[in-house]
Amino acid sequence: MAEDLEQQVRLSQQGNRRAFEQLVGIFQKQVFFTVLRVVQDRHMADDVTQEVFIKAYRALPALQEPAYFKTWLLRIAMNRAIDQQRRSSREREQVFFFEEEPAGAGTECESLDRAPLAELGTALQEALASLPQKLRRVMALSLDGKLSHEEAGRILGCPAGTVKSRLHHARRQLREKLKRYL
Amino acid sequence: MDCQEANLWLDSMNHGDLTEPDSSELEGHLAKCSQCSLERDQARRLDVLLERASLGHFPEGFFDRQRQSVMARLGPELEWHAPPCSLLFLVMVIAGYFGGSIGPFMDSVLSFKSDLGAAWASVDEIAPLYGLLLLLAFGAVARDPDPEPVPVEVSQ
Repeated sequence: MAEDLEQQVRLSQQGNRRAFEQLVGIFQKQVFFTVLRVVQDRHMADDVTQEVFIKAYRALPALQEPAYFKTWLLRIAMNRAIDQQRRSSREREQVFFFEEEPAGAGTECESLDRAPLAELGTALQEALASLPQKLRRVMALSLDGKLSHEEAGRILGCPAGTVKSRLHHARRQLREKLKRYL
Repeated sequence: MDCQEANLWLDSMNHGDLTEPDSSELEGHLAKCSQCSLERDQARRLDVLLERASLGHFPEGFFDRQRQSVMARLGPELEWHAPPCSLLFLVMVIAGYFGGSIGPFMDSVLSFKSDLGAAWASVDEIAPLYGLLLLLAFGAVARDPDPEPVPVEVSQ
């Protein structure tokens, strides 16, 4: 499977549009949601995601290791999202939501189950937004749970140990800020 | 193990990253320390909270439209591939035109056209034919090079 993916990347590097379209299909949600967590605006996240793929397509020939395509792509996405977030003065919109759990599917956390869902979404968003930039970025990447510390480190340009340490600090701060819901 | 150290290991334990003997040592500490035990429970609830947080629903077709938009914005790029034989053919046609080395060939074409009743009287008038040859040469090198890629299924 990884070999197939590398093959798609190689074909895309040669200018194969169909192969690149497949790569867009595979990674667009991951890119979009990562960007959305940073910019906290759906329209902006949509624009940034499209720009990320266009930039990636043009820069693809320079990618020397097709195996690292995902981290390379997410690094472009993260940089672009941070850049956009800095430039934008638009008010953040609510991007985190909680839904009713199906009956009988409680979380075994009474405090969470009792909390008003809209309030929970706002509280989480505010707590994440109040984190220092470095911690917020590492949280934005880790919330998917699909990246290893090494991969996140490659994207953020720091060692895996630093990612782990930042995650620890971010979680501690979030625990503090969301104490009343936990 | 003191509370500060225990706190450092809580996330690792909750994510199953902690191995023996650290794991047993931490469990021992948590059994004795109510404050750290509370921290552990809060860390677990935070994980549940983050897991339950959704980024909302998107209209049907949102991601299809996004993908199509990306591809459209890349523009209708004509990809030029020039295999050596096509280039050689092109060079031969041009050289032949200027050097007159394909005159006999053109003569035969002309006579063939004459036989068909065409009114081609001089070499000057066969310029459109050279144009056609050039077009054919370019036609041989300008093509859609995209073979159908093998579908890839990757869990994100």
